[in-house]
Amino acid sequence: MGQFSLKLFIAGQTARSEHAVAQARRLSESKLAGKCVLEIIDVVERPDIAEQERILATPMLVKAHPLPMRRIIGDLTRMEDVLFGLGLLADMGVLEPGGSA
Amino acid sequence: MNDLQNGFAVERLRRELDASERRLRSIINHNPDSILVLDQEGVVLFANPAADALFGWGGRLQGHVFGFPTVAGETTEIDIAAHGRNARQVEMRVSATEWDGRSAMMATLRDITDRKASERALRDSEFRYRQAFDQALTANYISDPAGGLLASNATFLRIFGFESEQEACEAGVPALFGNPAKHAEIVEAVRRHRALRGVEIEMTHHNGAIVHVIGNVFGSFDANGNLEALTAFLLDVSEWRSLEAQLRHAQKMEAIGRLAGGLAHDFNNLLTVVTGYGSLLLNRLPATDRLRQCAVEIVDAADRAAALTSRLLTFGRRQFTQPALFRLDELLDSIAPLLRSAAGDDIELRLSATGGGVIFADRSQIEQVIMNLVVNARDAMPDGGVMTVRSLLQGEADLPVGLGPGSRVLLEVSDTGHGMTPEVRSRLFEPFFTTKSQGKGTGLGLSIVYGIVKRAGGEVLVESQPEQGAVFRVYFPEVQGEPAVPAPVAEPALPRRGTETILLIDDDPNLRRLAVSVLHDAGYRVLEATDALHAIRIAEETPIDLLLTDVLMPGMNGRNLAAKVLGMRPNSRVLYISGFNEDATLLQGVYEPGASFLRKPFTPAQLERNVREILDRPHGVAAAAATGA
Repeated sequence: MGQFSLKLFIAGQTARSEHAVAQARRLSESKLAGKCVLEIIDVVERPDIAEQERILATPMLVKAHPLPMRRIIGDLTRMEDVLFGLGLLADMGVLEPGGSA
Repeated sequence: MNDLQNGFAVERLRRELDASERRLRSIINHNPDSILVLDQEGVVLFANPAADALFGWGGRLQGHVFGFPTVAGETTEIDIAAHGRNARQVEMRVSATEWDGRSAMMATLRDITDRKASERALRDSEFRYRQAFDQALTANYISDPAGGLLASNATFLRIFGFESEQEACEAGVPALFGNPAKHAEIVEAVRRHRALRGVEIEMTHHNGAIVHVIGNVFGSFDANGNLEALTAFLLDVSEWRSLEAQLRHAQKMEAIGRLAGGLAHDFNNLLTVVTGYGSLLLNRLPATDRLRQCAVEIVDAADRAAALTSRLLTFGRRQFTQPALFRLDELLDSIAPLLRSAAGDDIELRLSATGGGVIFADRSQIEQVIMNLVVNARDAMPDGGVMTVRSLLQGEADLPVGLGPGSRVLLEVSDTGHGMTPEVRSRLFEPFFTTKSQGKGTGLGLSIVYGIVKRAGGEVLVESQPEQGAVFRVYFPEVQGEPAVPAPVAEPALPRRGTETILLIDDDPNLRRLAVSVLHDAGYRVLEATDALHAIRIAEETPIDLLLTDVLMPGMNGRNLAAKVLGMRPNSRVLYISGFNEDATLLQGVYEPGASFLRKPFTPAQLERNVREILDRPHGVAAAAATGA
């Protein structure tokens, strides 16, 4: 558990934010089911974290763990883009059900 | 080519390359869109000045992690983080490129914050106008010039009776104008004048009924001035129209009532004198005198005239009334046999008196209302038919428009007779208006109904079409309370002669002379006064048994005069002479219990009987509120 740590940065409760949250959840509950902690951070409420993490734009999904840290920005609809951007396709074995934990 | 030539060529090529790079850099540097070149991990390899400005860091973006850009379609929208300033909304476009020989991504960012704000403002504005259109009190619609419905609101659907917008679309706008020509006329007028304001239009409900509207209609035109659409705002004034008509009718009836009542009142004074002297003449002429017949004719004619003025007074609401609480059902039951005989054998009378309530009115007058309506219904059915008379209670919610608050006791008289035209209906209650042949009706029956009903705080409404019968509905305010048990009516005592002293005050010399004459003949001692001050002087000097005074006189009224006289002569009695009901109200409202009065016109016998009755009454006994005919 907790092998993957994802952080989703959104800006306010907009339709775009909601879509991003839904997509990030989908990812964490399907491909990364049982192996992922997803944290959602609203930069409007927590500008300090945005500042600290040097978030340039939202919605941004950050893979904080395992390293290397990767960030993707934009539309999270296309799962293969998301997986590629986060560098997860490179280690698909981890993602397959029954793969090494 | 020698070295020198080679050197020139290289130099030229270098200059050309420099120039080309400057041009390209200029294009990139001056591009209002932000351009970022990113490596596969989203690290910024290059940012143009617009990008540096957009992120507002004051420094260069190069080397920072922007993130791997993902775009679902051609573009995607992202928010640039605020970092202490206003967040910006950006449209991102991504394409593959090459940077220093390696594959890279180019993200082009266009600031759409202002465009989004104006889109939102437009949407909000559109929403507000849409609300104003949808929720308006007016019926609103937009149509094309041919009458195809493009939009409508809830009020529109309601006043024209459509279940849905689709049903309205199927019917089309021209149908609402009754005929296509009328719609075309409106469209043409809008085409010519661009807008119509405050126009009155008679439109048609989905069920065919007339809907009166006042409307504004505006045209929308294209660049060439061709009419593209019409927008209409229609205020339904049908109900106001009907109230206006009711008001006009009420005002007319009020005016006629005043005229008739006022005339009849003055006429009454004259008739009292005519009847009085006629009676005196009759009494004094020997039975064999040939002139006796003349006196009989005079008294008869005056009696008939008095009956007529009495009816006019009833219509004019100046007739004396004795309102009391009673049940309309109970009254209908008690006069049922009378109604059956009035209706006659050819007419089937259906009587239902089960649902009414208590009203406050003059019982005998309401009896007259019912009787007049029944006679009217009978006369509308010369060849027989069905007459229905019923009483029922109506809650406020069931009342027709314009009746005001509170529940009503409804008296309904309907017939299956010849009905009437709208013209007849509008003049129905006017005195002397009759559709009956000469000699068959006075034209006062329904006027009296109107006067009595109004006097009782009620309303009378009529529904009728030619050949479709008529329904008269009389609405009385329902009163809470228990009806009083009617007091037995005392038989009038036969007048007997007297010797007492009577002080008579009336400003009408004719009437005064008549009364003096009658009372003298009956044995009384009569002192006359022309006004109150004169009367007080007489009372100071002479003991009097009865003060006989007019209620309304110039100077001091009868009540104040009586108070003064009774102050001096506590054993005196008072009999007021009253012209009409306003006096009676004054008497009942202000005068002490026990006050009696005599209604004009009176006959000599009535005068004698009333005077005697009061003088014979023991002190301290309250009299009936009114005596006389």
